[in-house]
Amino acid sequence: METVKNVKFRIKRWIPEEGRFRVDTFEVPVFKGMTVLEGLIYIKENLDPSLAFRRSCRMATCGICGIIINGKPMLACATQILHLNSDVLTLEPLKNLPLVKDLVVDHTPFFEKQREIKPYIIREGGEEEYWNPSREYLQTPEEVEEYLQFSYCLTCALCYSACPITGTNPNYLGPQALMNAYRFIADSRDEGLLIRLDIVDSPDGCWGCHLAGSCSDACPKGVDPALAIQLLRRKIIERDLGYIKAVKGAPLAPPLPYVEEAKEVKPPKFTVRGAQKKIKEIMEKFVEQP
Amino acid sequence: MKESYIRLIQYLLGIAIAILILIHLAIFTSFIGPGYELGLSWETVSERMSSPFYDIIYTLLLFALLTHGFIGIRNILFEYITGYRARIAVSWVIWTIYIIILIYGMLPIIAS
Ligand code: SF4
Ligand code: SF4
Ligand code: FES
Repeated sequence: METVKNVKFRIKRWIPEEGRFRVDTFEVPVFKGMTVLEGLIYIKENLDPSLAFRRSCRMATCGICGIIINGKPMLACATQILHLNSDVLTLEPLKNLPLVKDLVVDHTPFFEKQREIKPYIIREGGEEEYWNPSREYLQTPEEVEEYLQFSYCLTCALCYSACPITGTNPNYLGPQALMNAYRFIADSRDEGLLIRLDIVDSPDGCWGCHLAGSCSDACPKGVDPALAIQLLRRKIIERDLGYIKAVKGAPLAPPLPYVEEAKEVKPPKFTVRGAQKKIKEIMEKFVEQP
Repeated sequence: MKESYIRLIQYLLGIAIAILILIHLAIFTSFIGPGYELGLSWETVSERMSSPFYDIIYTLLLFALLTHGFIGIRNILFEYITGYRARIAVSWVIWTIYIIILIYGMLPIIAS
């Protein structure tokens, strides 16, 4: 591809053996549409094979390539170099996470905090359905809207890196975990409201937030953790004032006829083609139903 | 005490302070008081301090402002002091200073 210009990559690399940062500068020929991640790959392939950084999906889906670009936490794979309008890019590892090497950080504390808020549907007495799900829970489109934006989170930790409170208080749950607590509380299938409110009701939980909104500003998916934290506070105050008690989760969908019939299909007695035929018959019967 | 109760008290005190400050300003200015200059004169202040109504207003204002302020200081300190025991120690120090200042502030009200 045609090179548009050369851009300097000033990379603040963490050198674990020396316990300090070192800044290295590389010149990268940039083509139209080239991302910061592609720039890093160019450096690794052509200039310095020892450069360490993380990437996987290269399409803003896995959330692992987060770094600080010109002072702002961003996804390297979703940031085009020319869009930054700068001849020099300063790249640093994410803040508020333990450093591993160069641009690589350890996300463990981030994920541990996420685990603390129980990021899954909690159902009272729903053990069997939980481990062997047979049907879906009924949910209206309006109920999905209640938590939809919060479910777009990639767990990229950009918000965690941008949060000043996470920087001063290592016990602070952080924007992502708090947002995720609200995501499940707002989910009509969930019954863990009171359990989660107890977890986040602390100076290290939703009361630690300053509402400066750096987290929401940093999020590459348009999730608004600062809003979720305010909504959590509202829920807690409503609980304290006696407005909300335990919630009942959405009911299970009624069994569908074809599911019951499909159970009769016993794979060992059929050839693959035979089983396919049988399933087709059942589906056709189902579609014919009024 | 649950953290949320402390924050709820903080919110309610914020509302109370807004109302009490408006009363306080009204007393000093010509809105219901004698005007700013006269309102601050020794005679007016001492006369006002002997009225039980103003005693109650100023006691409430002192209590609300101090409590709100000290809860605020506690919150700021908790961002930097993160250990469980350290936070308990800080709470003791804060609330001891709070009681001392509250009593000190009450003295002129009690004396009048
Ligand atoms: S709004 Fe709250 S969680 Fe978000 S960055 Fe600010 S302090 Fe952190
Ligand atoms: S809320 Fe946004 S910034 Fe934070 S982890 Fe999720 S996707 Fe990343
Ligand atoms: S590589 Fe997956 S989000 Fe960037």
